[in-house]
Amino acid sequence: MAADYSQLPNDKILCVDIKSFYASCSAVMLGLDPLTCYLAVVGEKERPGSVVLAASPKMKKEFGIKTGSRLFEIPKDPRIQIAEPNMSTYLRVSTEITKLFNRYVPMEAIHVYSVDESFIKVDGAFLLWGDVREIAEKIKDDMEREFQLPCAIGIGPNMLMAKLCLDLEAKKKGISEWTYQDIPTKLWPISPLKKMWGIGSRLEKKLNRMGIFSVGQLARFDLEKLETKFGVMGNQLYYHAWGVDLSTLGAPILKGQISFGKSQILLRDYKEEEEIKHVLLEMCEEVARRARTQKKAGRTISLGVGYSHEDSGGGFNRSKTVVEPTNVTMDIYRICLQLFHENYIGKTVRQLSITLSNVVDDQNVQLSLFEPNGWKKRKIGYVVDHIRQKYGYNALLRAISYTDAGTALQRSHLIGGHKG
Amino acid sequence: MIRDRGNIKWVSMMLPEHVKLLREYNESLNKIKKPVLDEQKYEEFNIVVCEAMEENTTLQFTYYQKGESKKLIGHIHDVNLLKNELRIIDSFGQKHSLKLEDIIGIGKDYKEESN
Repeated sequence: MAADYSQLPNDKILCVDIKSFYASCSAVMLGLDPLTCYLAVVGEKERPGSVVLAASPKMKKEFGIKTGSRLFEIPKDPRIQIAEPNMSTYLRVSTEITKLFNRYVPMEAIHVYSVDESFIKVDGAFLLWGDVREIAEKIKDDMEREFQLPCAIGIGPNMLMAKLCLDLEAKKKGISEWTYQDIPTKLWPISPLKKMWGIGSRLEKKLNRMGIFSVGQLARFDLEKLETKFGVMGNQLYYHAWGVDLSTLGAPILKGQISFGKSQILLRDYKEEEEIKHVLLEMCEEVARRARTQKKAGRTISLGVGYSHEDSGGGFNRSKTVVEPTNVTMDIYRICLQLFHENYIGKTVRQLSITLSNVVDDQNVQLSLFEPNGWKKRKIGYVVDHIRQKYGYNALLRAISYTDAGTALQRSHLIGGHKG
Repeated sequence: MIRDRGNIKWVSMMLPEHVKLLREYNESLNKIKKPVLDEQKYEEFNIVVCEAMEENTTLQFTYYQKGESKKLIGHIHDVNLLKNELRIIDSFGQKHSLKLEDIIGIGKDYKEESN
């Protein structure tokens, strides 16, 4: 046995997932029952190519419409409702649900993982509320009674197991619990590997080529070989296959941001290098702005580029660390361009992401003697932000935002890339 | 050997607007509601204030401000009934004005600073 489970954390952790959150929320707002209605949330009703952001469970089952489908794929049926997203409401509801969890456990025991998924550590609450199962049922009841939102809850001895239990069993059953003893019978038969959290289709292909097709095979594979091939991730993969996870709850993002990033899937294929650069500059500006609003600067800049599927896909993700922490748009842009030129192979681009990490407080930044106007460059960013805060984002735009390539103008009204 | 990456694997892409809402909630948890005092309490304050003004003694005031209870030590300079304010001068000679409705406690017991 690779793991001595008696030495490993054995907490009671819930992983709560709201079923088709966006669709359920919209259904409730329209006065419909999320579980029986046929509803799809679509980016824009007028655009036939618009992506389906969420579909109600019945919609998925009976019409095969799921997240990522296109509007034109939805059949014309009088029972089907099509709604546009209302991001700010979704976020408010999500926060209210966090408050609901907070009635059972303190905030330190809640880890918000995404809008519709949270981890809750309930070990300390048994005296107040009963055992894990009872707490899970109470929370599920509360959510149905107060928000009319259906949810699924996975229970496990650590965060990973709770999440796996949720994805692989609870989503079908409602509430389920996995313990370390369940690993050989419930986790190891899982195949294809993509079904397991943390394994994407690219990683799956690589593992397949090594002869690994199920989680059980992964667990019995040679750890050293995995480590030489994937580094720390290889180690993580191996131990995840054994259900081992030492991480503790608490989303660091709420305490202080550790990185600032922006990514977007472009509305069309970008073929011209010039156009891609325009979007990059806009994104650098946004990343820099996010860093500046919290008076932070970073040293590591990562650039991710995804190629269009029409051009056989693929892409790269490279980063560069500089000596001086920065939050100056043009500094970040220059490094992005450098990374871009080093790695770009001339294919059409569909997806871009930029991240600024290795973050420090902006006050601690050392001014370079060899850059006499450095402080001016720093300041201008804050001035631009200030003007935009006062008169709106569109009060001051770079000229490139008015070119055909620019996306900032139309994106300025969105929350998380969707209608507010 | 287990080389667990810890929390990093559970950091997801969260919308900045969502993070902001959650942060605001977190901060609001430390806040208290303004306590409701009864008539008798105000009667007591009245007596303490009158005595203190007569003898010019130093008092400790507890007052409510934006979800927090704060303390102030000083002596009363005057009472402005028009504005419903107490004007207080602290030991550094700084003037403060306290709205009567914000005051939640007045007492003679406080730690005298040694000098």
